Amino acid sequence: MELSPTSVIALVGGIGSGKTTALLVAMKQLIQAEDTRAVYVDVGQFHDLQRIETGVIVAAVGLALCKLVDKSARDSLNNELQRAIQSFRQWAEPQEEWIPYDELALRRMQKEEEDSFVRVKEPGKLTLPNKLSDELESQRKNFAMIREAYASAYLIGFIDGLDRLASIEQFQEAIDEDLRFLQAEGLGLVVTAPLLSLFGKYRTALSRFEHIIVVHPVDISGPRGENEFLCEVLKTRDPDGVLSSEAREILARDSGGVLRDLLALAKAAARNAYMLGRDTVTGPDVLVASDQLARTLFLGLGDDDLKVLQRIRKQGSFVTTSDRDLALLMTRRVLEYPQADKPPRFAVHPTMLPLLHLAVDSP
Amino acid sequence: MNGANQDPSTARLSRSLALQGRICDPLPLIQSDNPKRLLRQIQNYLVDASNERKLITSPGEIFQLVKLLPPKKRDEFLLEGADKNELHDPNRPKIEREDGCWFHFFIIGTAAPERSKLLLLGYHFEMYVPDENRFFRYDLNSPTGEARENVDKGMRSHLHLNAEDVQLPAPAMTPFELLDFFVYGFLPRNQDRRRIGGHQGS
Amino acid sequence: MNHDLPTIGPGEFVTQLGENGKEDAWFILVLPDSTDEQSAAVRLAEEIHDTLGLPTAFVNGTPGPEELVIRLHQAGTKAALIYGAKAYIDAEWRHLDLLRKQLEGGGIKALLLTASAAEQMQRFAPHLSSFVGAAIWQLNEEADYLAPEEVAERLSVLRSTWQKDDDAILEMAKAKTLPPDPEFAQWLLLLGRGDLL
Repeated sequence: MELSPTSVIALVGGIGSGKTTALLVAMKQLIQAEDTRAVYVDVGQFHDLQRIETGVIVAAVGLALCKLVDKSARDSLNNELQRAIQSFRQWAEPQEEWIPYDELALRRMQKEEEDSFVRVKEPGKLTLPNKLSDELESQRKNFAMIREAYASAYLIGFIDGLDRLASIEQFQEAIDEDLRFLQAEGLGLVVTAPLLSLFGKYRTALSRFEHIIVVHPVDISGPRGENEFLCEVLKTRDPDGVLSSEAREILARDSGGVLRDLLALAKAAARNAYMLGRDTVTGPDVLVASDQLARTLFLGLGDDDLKVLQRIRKQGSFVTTSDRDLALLMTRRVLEYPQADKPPRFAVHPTMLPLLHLAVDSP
Repeated sequence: MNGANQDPSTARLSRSLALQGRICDPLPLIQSDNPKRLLRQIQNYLVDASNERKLITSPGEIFQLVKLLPPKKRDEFLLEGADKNELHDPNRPKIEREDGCWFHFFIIGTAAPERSKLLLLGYHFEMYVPDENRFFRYDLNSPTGEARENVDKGMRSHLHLNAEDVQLPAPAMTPFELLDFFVYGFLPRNQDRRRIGGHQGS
Repeated sequence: MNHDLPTIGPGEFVTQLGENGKEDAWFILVLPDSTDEQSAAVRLAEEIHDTLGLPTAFVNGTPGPEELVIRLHQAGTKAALIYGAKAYIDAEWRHLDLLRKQLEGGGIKALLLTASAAEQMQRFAPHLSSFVGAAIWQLNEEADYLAPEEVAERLSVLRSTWQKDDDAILEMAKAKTLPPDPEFAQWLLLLGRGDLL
């Protein structure tokens, strides 16, 4: 991105693999360069992704820029720019509308006597009363002014949240015109994309990206000290040293290198340690937490899924023949680790292994 | 009190009843809506004490050790804090203080005519000091059967000091007054206080 | 294969909520199918108030994920109990998953579900599930009560301490000759004969 600040990059990775962290780290590094500025948006924070459509990403990026311009030069905005911001906001901001508020039970319980209607800013009602796409082009001039006011040289947009879209069609529809629009305004873009877009027929979704970066879980069996990396992540999040070194090791192992699971397990282990009256989180506290997480990962799995998991556990082989197989990857029950000069390695989420072992051993 | 017309034993009984009246009548009410709420109040009290490191029993163990007898249709309830551990086996789960003393208790009560309060029927709060193999126990006898007679004798609320057959009059207390003493108040190894006592005596 | 979710008593659950105190945290509590979730929510709110001193909002998500999010934002309290999601169809779970980012912020949130709804969530809302992590339990309201084996153990200790059997105790209680010690009252209650007190 530093070499080619107007390129369009897809950042793909599994749930909790650290895509947002990667975006934020990259952003921090890029803004060190004098002629480069950055804007970060999580589209899901701004809009109901269920209703994503053409114009939403531009609106999200534009609103974030308005905020940044406001913040950096509130007193020195010329009239023209002020008008541009106002007009853009009018187009892009969520609409307010009346919604019924008929929770009798809730009111009974809270002894509240509100009016039967409340006025709210409803997420997702961005498209009311007009569709954003209808006026997208007419906002180009405003957008260009706002963009210029914030960054006269390079501007890179970090667009997060689109990886949560389960439907590849929705993803394609959402990015198609918007990325073109933003590129035409000279923005470089890094966009998180659903993991599914890496597989089979879904790959076409990434065709309009110049580069694809895949964020894999950290492979702790790797030779480059990946285990130490995860332990370091834990250390920085644990300045008081509540986690014992044994706990850190087990957390790193049982997370499977999925960063969010690493932190979720650490939190659960800390809760377990507290309930046992311990000031320090020890190995057994982590093992209990791992068992807890495993039990959630087993929820909703059918016999066929379990057979696939057992096969991966025993043979390490995983061929995705159906959407159901892919779902195991998408929901991180199966983790994929790239290997240099070799096909990727597949593994069952490490927290699930003890229960899978038991299933085989029990009559 | 000891009138000329009263024989000495009647006079003693009458003084004993007066004492009983002062320490035990009326019994304090428990400020709690229902047994479940009382259970949670006691659990939370002990968890807070564990957080303060006054107890070494962990929060998780406290929830395991302090429980109610499953409710029947009647109003009486039994709330227990650990089992009796009669042989003082240190390996049994127990509510243990930071100084190694441990205690168990049970409370018997019923719904009070006054709403949002509970009536005490009896209790049993025993502390064991393992280093010195000593114990003390506050009992409130339940006013049933033969106990009614004992109430009349002025012995309903009493303290056992290192012996089952030694009963000393004691004030009837609420569960939280007892817990205050069992968790925070009782200091068996306050050496400073002992030394001062010694100087005063010499 | 048995991989039931871990169980937790209401008191312990609320204590765990409090452990996350000021942080933004989601918890899931799976209720038995037979439990009325609104009354369970009211009981839990009382517990949260008594234990953590926090006012609790009730958020009824029955109308759908979008309403759930709106109401959650409106509630604006440090603790919220969310119910009504157990009836969501697969598409609604997918929608809630897409709204995951808007579920962040605003303190402790406990989502009440049934076992089958928790399975649906895991399948159709994987981002939300990952966000919740391992903070998911089955509620065991019986955890507040002595188990039958604990009752039997206490009775056995009483029998050996006082060298008497249950029948003798019941006879003495009926004859009003039961010794005064509170342990005899305890004995009667453990036998389910509080009427003899």
